[in-house]
Amino acid sequence: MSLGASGTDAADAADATDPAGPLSDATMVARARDGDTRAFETLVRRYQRPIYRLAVRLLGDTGEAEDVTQEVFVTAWRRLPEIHEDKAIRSWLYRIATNRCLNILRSRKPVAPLFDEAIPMASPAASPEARAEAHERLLALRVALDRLTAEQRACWLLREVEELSYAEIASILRTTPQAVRGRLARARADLGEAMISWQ
Amino acid sequence: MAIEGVDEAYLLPCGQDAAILWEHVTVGQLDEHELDCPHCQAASAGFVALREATGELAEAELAPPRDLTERIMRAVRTERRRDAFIPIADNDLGPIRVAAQAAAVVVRFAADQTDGVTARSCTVQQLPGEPDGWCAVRLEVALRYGVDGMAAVDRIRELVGAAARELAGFEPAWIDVTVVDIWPGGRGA
Repeated sequence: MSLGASGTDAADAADATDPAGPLSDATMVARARDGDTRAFETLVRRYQRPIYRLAVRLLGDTGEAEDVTQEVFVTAWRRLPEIHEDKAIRSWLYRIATNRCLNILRSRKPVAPLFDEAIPMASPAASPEARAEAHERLLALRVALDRLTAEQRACWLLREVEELSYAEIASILRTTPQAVRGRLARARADLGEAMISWQ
Repeated sequence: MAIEGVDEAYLLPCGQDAAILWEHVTVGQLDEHELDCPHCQAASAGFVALREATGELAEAELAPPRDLTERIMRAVRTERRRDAFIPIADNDLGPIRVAAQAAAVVVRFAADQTDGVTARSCTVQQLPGEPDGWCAVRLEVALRYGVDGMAAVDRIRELVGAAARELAGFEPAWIDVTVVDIWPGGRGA
């Protein structure tokens, strides 16, 4: 580890190429709790992308997602002394982000669904037909996702895109793993039905 | 994987549990009923398309703006907790102090130089009733599995003592080292 590294690129490189491997979340949380902003910045770099991704897909608005991501980390910084299990920072960040997004969605007036996220095109190596089909399929999924309830969408995204365990999702949504399984089954059934219509 | 204890099962019109059909589609093994039933066939076609679209969504790059880290860190720094200071000495021009957080950085850096040791939490505080700069260091460390703990702690005390005196100017009169974690070799602590 080099304490001499400074600047954002150097900090990224230090996290990725330390000969002992990247330092664990527990180490970074312990140091950040002592007031070490450099350690906290490592956590920000590690988790801002998944938090932002989740927020965009829950809210459908990149500007709001940026605000939520910033709020999540500033809240985490303030509340670091409350973390008793340093290894659980990832779940904890997802919990703050999910709750913040659900609160925003609850306070929103019903509006037409937003699609602020650009739908990516398939690999350029694929044929134009395959790319167009993949693009249409993804668009259909986005439309179907917007028809789920906010809680169902959160549950589905946390499991299928963020790959969290049932237990982690249950803890984030303050429910039971069984309820998560049920909610997920219902979301998959609704999404699957929408995908049949698309086909 | 069989789904047990689903308390909110979602059933297809034929009575099949959608969660079980999903699992069967995932492993590519539909049972006899699912292969013959039009409801299950339609639902499984939707699940196949959903799985493909889900994979594409999960792989899609969705990166935050490049300046987001800096914006977050700027906000964090404005909330930085007030530094405590350790009095080091007095001279004709006034007192010399070192920020306790800076002293902790020196301690952690020194401890990290010990093979198989990663410093975690650290506090440095002036000892009450002792001369200026006489401090208590409380340090938590993680050890790599297989490292001789006693030898490592002796080495940490040696390196921390030297760094405190030579780099930060305080006397670590008491160095309390606690091993809080053991991590397997081959990855960071």
